[in-house]
Amino acid sequence: MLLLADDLEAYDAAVALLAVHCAISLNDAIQVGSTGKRSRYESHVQTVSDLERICRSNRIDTLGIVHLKWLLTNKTAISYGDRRFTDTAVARDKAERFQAWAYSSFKEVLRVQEYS
Amino acid sequence: MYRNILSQDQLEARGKNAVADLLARRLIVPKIFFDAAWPTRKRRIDVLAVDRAGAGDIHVVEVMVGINAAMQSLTPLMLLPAHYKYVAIVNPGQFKLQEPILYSDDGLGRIGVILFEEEEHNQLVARIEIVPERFRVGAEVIQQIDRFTAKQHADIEIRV
Repeated sequence: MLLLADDLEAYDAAVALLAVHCAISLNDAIQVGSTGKRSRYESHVQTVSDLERICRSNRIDTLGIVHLKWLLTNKTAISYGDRRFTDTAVARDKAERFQAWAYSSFKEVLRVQEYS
Repeated sequence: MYRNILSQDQLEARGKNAVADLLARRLIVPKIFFDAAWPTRKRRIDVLAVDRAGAGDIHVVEVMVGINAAMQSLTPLMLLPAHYKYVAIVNPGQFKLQEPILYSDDGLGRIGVILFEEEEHNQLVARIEIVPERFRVGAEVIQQIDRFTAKQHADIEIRV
């Protein structure tokens, strides 16, 4: 996403799409890492409630979830919309803020395993 | 004729800014610290970045002016606990660092080399000349960097 974001004019649609998909993947990773399974919901929007539940049970603030919600709400417009999506810079910002929250809040779950 | 000459400290500081910009673009939501007290309070690292908002690999960079200073920085840099280590050289002149001296004794890890270019509007841009290879880091270092990132305020980070 960041590489393409260097040329936002040319790749804005791809950047927005990658912003959504990296947030979805990170949400999945948190859920699998925390509970051992993915969300029971098919709908990405509904999986947010599972993430909120994990946060509550681990006493983690839910500040960053608002960014995931924004991306999921705009997913259809970004992926399939008839019109060109114009808020790509916001989508990138939302994805980065969700990542910052996720890696800070679920540090142990998302940490890359050390091989040494 | 007017010629703008920067002091050594200014050159280094400018280099640190450009290095921070490079790391911010290459890493995923990193926390970046200037003049970081790592791994002890007495030791200062020019630029320290921790990938993935503090959950990822540790990157340390020493910014040096001139090739001799860069050479001298390699031994202490080799001893620093970090996954990725770099020496960034401002004004290297016509000489280059020989690649074999960049490797750790056990071969697990190579110090990366960063050089600078002046682009349009006198913008200083850092670029990786020699790609670093990952060093081995013990579990106690991970605990130490967790304490560091929890206590220290990052100079550059993505806010939630």
